[in-house]
Amino acid sequence: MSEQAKSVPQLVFEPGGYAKFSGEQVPLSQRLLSLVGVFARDAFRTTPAKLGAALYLVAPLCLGAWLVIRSYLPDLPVSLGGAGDAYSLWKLTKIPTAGQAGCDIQALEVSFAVNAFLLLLGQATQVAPLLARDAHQGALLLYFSRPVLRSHYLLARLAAAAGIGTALMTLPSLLLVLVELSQHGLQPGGCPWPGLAGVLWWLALCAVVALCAVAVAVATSLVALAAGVLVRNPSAAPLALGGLVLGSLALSWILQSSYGRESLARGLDLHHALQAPWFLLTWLLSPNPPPKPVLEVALLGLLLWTALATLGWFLLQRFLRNPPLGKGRA
Amino acid sequence: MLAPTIPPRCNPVAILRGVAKSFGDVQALTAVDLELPAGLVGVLGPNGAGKSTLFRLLLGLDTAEQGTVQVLGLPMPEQTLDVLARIGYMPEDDSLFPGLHGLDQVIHAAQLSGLSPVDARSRAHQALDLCGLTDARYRMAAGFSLGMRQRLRLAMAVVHGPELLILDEPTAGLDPDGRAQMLELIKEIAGQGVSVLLSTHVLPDVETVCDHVVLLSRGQVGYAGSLHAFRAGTGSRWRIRIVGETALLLQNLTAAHYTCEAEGRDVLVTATPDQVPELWKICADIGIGVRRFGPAEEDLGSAFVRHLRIDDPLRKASGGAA
Repeated sequence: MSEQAKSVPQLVFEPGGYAKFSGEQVPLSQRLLSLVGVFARDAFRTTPAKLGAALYLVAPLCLGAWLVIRSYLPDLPVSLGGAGDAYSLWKLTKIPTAGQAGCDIQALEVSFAVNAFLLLLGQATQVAPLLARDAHQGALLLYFSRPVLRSHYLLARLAAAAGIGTALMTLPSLLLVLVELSQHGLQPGGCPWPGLAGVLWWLALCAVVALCAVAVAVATSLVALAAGVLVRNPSAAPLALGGLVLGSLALSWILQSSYGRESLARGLDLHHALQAPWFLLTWLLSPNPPPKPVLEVALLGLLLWTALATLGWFLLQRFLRNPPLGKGRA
Repeated sequence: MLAPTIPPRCNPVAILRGVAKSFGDVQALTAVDLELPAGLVGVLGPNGAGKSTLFRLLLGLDTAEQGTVQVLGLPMPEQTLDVLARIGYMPEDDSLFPGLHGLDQVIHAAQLSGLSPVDARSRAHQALDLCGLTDARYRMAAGFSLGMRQRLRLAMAVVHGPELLILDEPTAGLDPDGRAQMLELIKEIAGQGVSVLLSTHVLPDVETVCDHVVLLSRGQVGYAGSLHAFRAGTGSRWRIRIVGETALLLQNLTAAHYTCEAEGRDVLVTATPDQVPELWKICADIGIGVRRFGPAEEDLGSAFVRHLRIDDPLRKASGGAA
């Protein structure tokens, strides 16, 4: 074939007609990436999802900016708890600010816990209904009649949900780390490691935040996707996940109040379990680590919920083996 | 512009040997031996005959409990991904990817089938042009009319240039004009060397576009062969085309106690194959020239019902219609 002929795309339809495709097919990894991309865009399809994500990111951005500004104003405490907004007032009840010096790891922990809860809320409304929706609208059949395996579909869904979740978890927390850094930096007492090792400490803190965000986002996405299988109606999927979280909380509360089994109760609490990565890493980094039993219980809880989510994964595979035919409209 | 290269067709496009599949207590397919030839093949059968199960096996959505399935020369389900990259499927259901406009639907379908983003976009535009959706490509697919949605699904099925196109009820819900356009499109695509499996309950559609017919009934193959043979009579009805007026022949046949009727220049006679020499003799005796003498073809609906009765002892015993 001449060079000129090679340069002409070989994938044209005849004018007004049909022609076969004779171009190269891309490898599977690229197909999966495009699937993840479409699924990621799919997550922000609705206006509430766009608004929710924007608020989720804008709120800590504004808070961070406000905290930095306030730290330069005279006669006001530098601590995060000194800001007069509702978030900080709420944090005041959680964090003893008196005599506090250096980086406020506990503030980050609280922020992380709040973000994990918000993420769970977002996953409940945006991720949990996805499988039921695709089944309801017959899209599963469109996916599986193309060179896409069920495991590809699930992995792409998980990757998109967890990727967005990671971003939403990481950015606000990193912002708070930056606020702390701007206030304390490498000053004496600014971080537990003295001198230049402090640089490593701050970097390690960023890595910790990112790793924890990944762990929480993956676990939450997995639980949300699995919860979506419990129902056929997409509208009921958030309720299924909500029921799972509230059910675990209720069970935890009953065990704690009626039987005094605090450890077991905390282990069963899904929200608490999702914070296990953070507990582990603050236990390693913080000068005031969480008590060891709290860490152990949270880790056991995470293991328990991971096992449950794995069971959910098998349910997902089974659910997708014979995709129901939908009659809905896109 | 280069002329499209049409590779040689894989023939037969699918081979099923001793295939059985059940769902719980329901035996969807029973020991099916079938070769689907290249070209336009109509898959017929009443509801619950096993058409959808057959398609699901061809698409690798289900696996056969017994027997082997080969599609485009490759074994299923071992090489499902390779096969699916060469197949286009248009489902019966009103299913589309949620939340995408027309163009993105087709691009997404193309990318899933292995086209690069650039190729996918280029092909998607062309497929939408082919299916007459040029002006609607940037509208949300959810707002499309039923006819537009059918054409969009066809565009999604053909965008990656499949060798085998499986169309499940492609004309369902379309008005006569839309139906005619859809059938024209299917014929045009098949004319480019694409094999088409067409499942439909609209028998005239099969008559219009198909060369071959597969009839499924109660999970078994009732008939597989050419459309012409499918419509050929049972040997009890004969068509005689004569030179001249039919009245004289009708009169003589009636006198000989045959049931007969005129249809244009043809005379349709009910007779057993043993009586055929006598029919020839009657024609010769009255000096009528015979242009053609052969089994009378039925309309597809009658042939469909007759084949179902042959295949289904229950229907045969009760004499019930399909």
